[in-house]
Amino acid sequence: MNKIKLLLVDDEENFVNTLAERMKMRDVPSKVVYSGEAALEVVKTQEPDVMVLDLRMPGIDGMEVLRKVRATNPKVQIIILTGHGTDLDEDEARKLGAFHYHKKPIDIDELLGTVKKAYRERVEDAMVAATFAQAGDFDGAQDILNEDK
Amino acid sequence: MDKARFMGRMAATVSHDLCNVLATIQQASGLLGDYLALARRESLKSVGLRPKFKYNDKFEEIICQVLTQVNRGQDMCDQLSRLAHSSDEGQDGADLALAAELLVKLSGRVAKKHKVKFLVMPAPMRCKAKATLVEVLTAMETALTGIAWECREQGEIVLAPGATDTGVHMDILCQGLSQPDVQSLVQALESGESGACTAGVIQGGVRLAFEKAGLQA
Repeated sequence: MNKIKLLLVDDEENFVNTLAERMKMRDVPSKVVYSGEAALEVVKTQEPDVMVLDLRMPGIDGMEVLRKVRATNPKVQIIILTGHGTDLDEDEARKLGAFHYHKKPIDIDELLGTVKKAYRERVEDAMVAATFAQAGDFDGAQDILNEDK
Repeated sequence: MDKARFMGRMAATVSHDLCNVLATIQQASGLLGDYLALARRESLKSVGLRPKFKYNDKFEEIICQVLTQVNRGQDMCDQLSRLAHSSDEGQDGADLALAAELLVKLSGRVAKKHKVKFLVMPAPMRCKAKATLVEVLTAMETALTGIAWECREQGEIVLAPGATDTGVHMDILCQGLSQPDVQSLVQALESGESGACTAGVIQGGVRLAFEKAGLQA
């Protein structure tokens, strides 16, 4: 699982740095950013496989990041991890295509399980798309890669 | 109601920030646990050359205590958040059974203080009152606190939602309640500000009666 490109986005620096350290101890290193703006920059230049995203942040909030990334990089699997979530937030995040919605605090192994599951789904989609492409069906391959979860 | 909304918003902000605090404590104590596990593995690999950390067991016990308290705090935050958002709810009526469960979870301190237990009975049917959740909680909290005081150290206080053809009600019962106690409680409840319900005397307790939601006038 070393090859997962994981991006952690949270303005709670102590929390997210500790989370990253614990992920690394479990052989899943990650990149950490502390704002929505920084997350969008990273997505432009080094697209992650999976993003763990807080909702309530100063500046561009998590919901806006989710909306933008789903529009520009639909293959990125986004897991919401928030202490601010209401049922309405969860509904909206799922409608926008979030892979999963977790509330803080969360057990590290539960979060890691979701990250791995999200990564597996992304890889499976890519493999199916590759099969379509090999068979010459490039439109079908593109559809699979753009498919909303 | 604007005051209730304001308080709700403030409480929601605090409960959400508390979740972040708990999450940070949880991850920090989890990281301590990770390092302890790493040290144990290294000690085993060194075949005794590197001794086990002397306070390993004590540290593990402390981490376990921290995580138990984090879970407790998380449960409290969930209830506080539910309460905070209650001023936005109940425009089309409030479910009495859900309100009772929320109130009981938030009243752990009252139960502990008076050495009583609160028990919510299942509703025989959906009991939705024509009132906001805040109004229902306010009336029930006043009655429950009064009864907890009268019944202190006397066991269980039961909250039983129910319905009739025209209305819904919440019975709050305790075997230790005397009839004069109930009557004075009902008088106190009736002199309160809440107009969402009427209080009445029943065998062994108080009945808070609400208009049923969804009935045409």
